[in-house]
Amino acid sequence: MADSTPGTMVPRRSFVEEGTRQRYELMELAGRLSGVIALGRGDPDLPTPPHVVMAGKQAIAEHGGTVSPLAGLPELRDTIAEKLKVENGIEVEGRDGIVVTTGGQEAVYLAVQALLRPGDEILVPDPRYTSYDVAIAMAGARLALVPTNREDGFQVHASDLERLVTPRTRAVLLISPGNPTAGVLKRQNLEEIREVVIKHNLMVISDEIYEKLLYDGARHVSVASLRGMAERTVTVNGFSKTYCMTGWRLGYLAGPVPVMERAQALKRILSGPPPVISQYAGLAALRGPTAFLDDYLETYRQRRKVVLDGLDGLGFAYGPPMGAFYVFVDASSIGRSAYDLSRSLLLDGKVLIFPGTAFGPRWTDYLRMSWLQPVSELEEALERIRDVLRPSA
Amino acid sequence: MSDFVDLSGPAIGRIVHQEAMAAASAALDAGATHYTTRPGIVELRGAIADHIVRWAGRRPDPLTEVLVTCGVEEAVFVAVLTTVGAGDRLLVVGPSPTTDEELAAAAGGILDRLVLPDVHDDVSQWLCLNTRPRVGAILVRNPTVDGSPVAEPVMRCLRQCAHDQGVPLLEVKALADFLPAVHDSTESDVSRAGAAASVVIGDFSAWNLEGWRVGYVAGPSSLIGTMTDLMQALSICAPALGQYAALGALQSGEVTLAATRTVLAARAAAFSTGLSAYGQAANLRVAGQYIFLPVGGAEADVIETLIREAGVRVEAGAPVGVPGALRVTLSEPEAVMLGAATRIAASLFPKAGEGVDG
Ligand SMILES: Cc1ncc(COP(=O)(O)O)c(C=O)c1O
Repeated sequence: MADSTPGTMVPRRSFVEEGTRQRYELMELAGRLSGVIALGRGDPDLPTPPHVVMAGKQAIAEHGGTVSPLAGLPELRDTIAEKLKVENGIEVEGRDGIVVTTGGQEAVYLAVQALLRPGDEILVPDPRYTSYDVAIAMAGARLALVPTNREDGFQVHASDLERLVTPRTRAVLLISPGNPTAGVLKRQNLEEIREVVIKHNLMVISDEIYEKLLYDGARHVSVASLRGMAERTVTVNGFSKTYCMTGWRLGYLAGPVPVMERAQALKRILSGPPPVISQYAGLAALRGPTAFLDDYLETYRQRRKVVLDGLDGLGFAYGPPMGAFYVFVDASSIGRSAYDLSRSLLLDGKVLIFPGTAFGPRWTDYLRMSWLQPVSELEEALERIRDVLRPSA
Repeated sequence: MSDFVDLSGPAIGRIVHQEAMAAASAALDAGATHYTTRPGIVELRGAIADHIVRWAGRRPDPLTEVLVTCGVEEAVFVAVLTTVGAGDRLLVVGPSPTTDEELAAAAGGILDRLVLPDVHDDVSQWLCLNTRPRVGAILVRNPTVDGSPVAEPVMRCLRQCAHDQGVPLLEVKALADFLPAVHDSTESDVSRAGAAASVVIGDFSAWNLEGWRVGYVAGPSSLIGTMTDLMQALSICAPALGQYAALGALQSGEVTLAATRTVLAARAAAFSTGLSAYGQAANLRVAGQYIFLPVGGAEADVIETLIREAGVRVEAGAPVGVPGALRVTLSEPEAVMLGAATRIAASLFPKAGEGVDG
């Protein structure tokens, strides 16, 4: 290592861009301050449903000394395959079409590595969840950004994909409902995207981790359920968001068997089998009652209204959040850079909100705000934001 | 076969440390169902720092020098991807799993395997990194995959070379907790050879927490910070309950580990007894929760034969770095291990059965 002096270890890679680094900085800073209202990380404040917790407790007692097979417990893989068929209209080859992962995050990473080779290109809507960038870079592939905008709710348009496809394009990454945009891709758009994908012989990675969190009549359409797409799609999903199970680290990928086999081969050296206790909890989540979700969604709807009303009052524009639990706010009217603004909201207002630049360098005018706090906290946060932004402040 | 025995799994089997289970259960009651901080809960990082003083020669700073990972696999993965750049060599010292090829490839690097020197070699002459350009990292499993501790002069040489060359030494201690605690690197050793080059990797398999997916990597903050960033894109953080279970395990001290060692030693002895009548006991090697039985090749056929004739399932040793041997997990009580060994021996070494002992 040419540039090192003895005793100083220099990493050979860097895995984060400026925007992500700033997001971490803000999180760490928020951790050191007291009284911060955190509207940053996508970690639901609501509890894991009680029947899932119960299953977890029982699993600790009964399976605490066991290890899962690499691709997950067979009964969980079967249950996921069945869920995808019944709820999403996705056909996979039973459990062979499923790999259970240590969070949806690992599913994303594995899907990218399994599909892309060095020199390949993948089309990714911008703004984006930047963990994708790391996965793509580690595959030696190139990210080609597909522009989206708030005016039409961050839809992805087939015409943009068509324009950006090159002979090296291998795949398209779609995420609906979106992070950070909370946009939900419309069936019509997906049908048109499907045509481009088939015409150019592409694959799709479809991140559907927010599939159940929908508002105002929005409908979720799974890409792999569209005609001819099952064999071209790797679906990524997880338990973190729907079931408030972020700490359990449980997700999965589903798709063609050869892709699942490649993903497993990498999984062996990446993190080994998924956590066993979490899998029993996940099984209870998929098989158990779903009434809790109606309650949780009602809670989110109320909070969403508080947040959007507050933003309206502040004169902010935003793409209508049709899913997830975020709103991607256009703060250009303030005339300050996103990071600068986020920092000041944190230091002066004790409200943690991520700058748009954490989701791509172009988003210097945007902020991502979550509503993962009780209504009273959200109201207080909006009040504090108002104070910080008051012209005299 | 009704008394079919599966000795092919990764878990110790039937050893469950209640301290760890209780800690996880209490954490669940307390609502530990959220992402933890990215590097892992602070208390666990502190307990890991305390635990690994015995190997690192100094206590790493829990806040900047310890990262909790999803198992030892992820610890090795982030360590290698952070230290081995495109075209760099990953120098693996000692027997190693076949998957090390994929590991080096995942980093865009090249695997370079180096056999451990014979104990009688002049070790100071052994590793001359200058003749091996572009080494990104040195990886050594200590104990090795077949359970032997790496000789201290060899470790000293590795540390010195790593320090002199500014190359991180990734020391995987996954099997070390199965052995009685030894302080295998003294404070002065490490400071002489440069603690800054040392990266210690481990897990909680000796507490039978393999299934919970918690491991760790400790080393210089410049590397740990970057590994934390990579881990964000891989798994975000280790499972919360697993982290609390691991904390419970470490807080329970050496007593629970000693209990594990006692049980495993008894199982290994029983297995050995079953083979001794066939003259094979001397060839066994114990490595953590595994015992390796050399069969001299054609392992796939042998494994099939054992399933058919002996009613025992075992794994091949080659993928984990012990070619020509069967890998047997010490997952069953003594009587079962003894019976399995007897059936294995009767099936594989029938002619040796006439009273020859090893
Ligand atoms: C778009 C998207 N995909 C995947 C994930 C991964 O979540 P997890 O690993 O907790 O399942 C997240 C988490 O924030 C996300 O926002």
